[in-house]
Amino acid sequence: MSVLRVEHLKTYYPVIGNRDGDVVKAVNNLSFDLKENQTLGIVGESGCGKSTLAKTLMGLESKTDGKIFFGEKDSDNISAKERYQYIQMVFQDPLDSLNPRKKAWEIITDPLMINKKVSKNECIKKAAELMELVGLRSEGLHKYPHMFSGGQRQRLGIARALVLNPKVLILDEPVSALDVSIQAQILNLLKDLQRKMKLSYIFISHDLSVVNYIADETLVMYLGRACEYGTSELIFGKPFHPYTKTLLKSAHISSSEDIKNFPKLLDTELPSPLNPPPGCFFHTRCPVAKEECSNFAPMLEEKKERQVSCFLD
Amino acid sequence: MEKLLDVKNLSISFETKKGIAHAVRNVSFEVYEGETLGVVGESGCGKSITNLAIMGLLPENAIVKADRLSFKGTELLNLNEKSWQQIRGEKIGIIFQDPMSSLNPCYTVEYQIDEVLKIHKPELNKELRKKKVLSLLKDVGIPAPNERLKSYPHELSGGMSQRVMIAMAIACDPKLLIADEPTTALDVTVQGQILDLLSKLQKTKGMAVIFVSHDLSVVRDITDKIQVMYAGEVIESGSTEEVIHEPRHPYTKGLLDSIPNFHKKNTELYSIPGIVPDLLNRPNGCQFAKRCFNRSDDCEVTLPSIEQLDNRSLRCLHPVVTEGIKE
Repeated sequence: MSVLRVEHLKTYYPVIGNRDGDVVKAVNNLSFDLKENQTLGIVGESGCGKSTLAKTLMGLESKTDGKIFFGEKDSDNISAKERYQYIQMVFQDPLDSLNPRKKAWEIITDPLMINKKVSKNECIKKAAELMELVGLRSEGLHKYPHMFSGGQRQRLGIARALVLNPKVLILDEPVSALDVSIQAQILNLLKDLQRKMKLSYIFISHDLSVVNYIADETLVMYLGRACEYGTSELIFGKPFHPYTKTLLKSAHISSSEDIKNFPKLLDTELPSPLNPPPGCFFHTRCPVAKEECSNFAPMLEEKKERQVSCFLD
Repeated sequence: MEKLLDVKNLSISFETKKGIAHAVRNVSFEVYEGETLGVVGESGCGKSITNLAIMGLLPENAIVKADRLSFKGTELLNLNEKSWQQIRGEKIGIIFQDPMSSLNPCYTVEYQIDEVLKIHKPELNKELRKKKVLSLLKDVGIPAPNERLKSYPHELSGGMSQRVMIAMAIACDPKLLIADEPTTALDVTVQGQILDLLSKLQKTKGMAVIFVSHDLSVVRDITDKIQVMYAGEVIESGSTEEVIHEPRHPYTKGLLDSIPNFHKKNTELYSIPGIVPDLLNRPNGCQFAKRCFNRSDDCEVTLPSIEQLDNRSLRCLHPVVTEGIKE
């Protein structure tokens, strides 16, 4: 069953001070389908539109075009309150995203107080329940964020996202700011919660080994467009798009010879998203680009059991 | 090979309002010419503090003690500021983690690289320095270096800024380069390029590199030796190959096991329980005992000393026997 379906989603930012109506196409024609109890991994370099996508899904940025469906409901026809009870978000830096002047229980139950009328006592009770669920001791209820360690703060962030019983969690680089040993704890917790609560995740990360570990399906983004979208097994095991191969090669994690011997990127820099190259966006850096790549943009099409936008066979 | 850096029993502590915090305790290591030493460990384990001590950049409330802390025979401990100037930047270079915040936003790229040369190479005149800055920018792989000279840091991408930082660090052809998490703030594609650049420069210039990182997969690929630090102590060291494939210390094994394995998906990740001990109030005995899966009663009583074991050293009473972690 689909819990979150996105069709041809576009989010453009106008360029301030530009009279020609120039826009940055941060998310450009993305479509995907997240099923219940599944995890969709989103990977790509910084500036490729991962976080804009997260914000658009949350309703923090308004979309320019396209459709978002939460289950059966169109996002255009639901209120913000309904939306937040369906989808919630965990942010990258746990310290920056927790209010330093509020106690743990207040942080966790803030969404509850805003969206539902709940008494203080009930809030504290609910907060204690959630803290136990995410592996925090309830002694911490009345502590402030600075009194917790990095991993514990991320657990608080997760507890806050779960307080309204959402169906979908957007995890925007949830373990990037943490040490490897703590990272493992949080990843295990996320898997555990997914089993217990039938959650679906959108997991955004630049760390490919983490995405490979946690995601059932993976979407590779480049300059706002999708390069490759399919099961993680295929994307990481038998990548097709040259960009995916480049990412895997740079991350030194694949043992496949095909990836290790894949040629280097031609250009080191990401092109400006304000003025992306014609044709395939990746052709300026692609080591295996052909002539047609600079003239025509490939469409996303089914190749070898996944969707790819590339002219290669 | 010549011994460049010789550190013996280095201890660094800080006086704080709550008492004395022992950030680094009895750390000993050596760096030889042309080799790469990797330093790994969780945040707060004393990696960066050790490097700052080698560069003489510790804050004034730091108390540094060591039996020996010498660079090419020069004792570094009692140097005055003037003598430090001749080592720092000239013989030892350093690259920091976040290039955006290490560059001065108010000055151009040219000015900032030129400054290093102005101080350390007073014999060069303006034109020669400009030529040198250009060739440095070329060395670190900045496209169209001529146009980049007048750029300010905010006009550069993260990867470009890190290249400028590297250019500054190698401006005087240092013998030793300290790279403190040089790729942590960068994207994977850029990370690969910066690592390639570092190993290329190391080969052409014959530098030794101390490479600090918490990312074991990066350290594995580019270093010859590894030392693992925990709570300000070196707990295991040896050749990279051996330490990664046959970790003996439970902490090293725990770190390696907590990285998601590329080919084993549906297994639960091992995670090291608990947190790093409070440096103000260190436990007796082994610092890792509380979090260790292999502890016995004696671990919490006696602090294990560092022992040599065929080219490796280890600080553990009950080391683990591993069959080698497979790729």
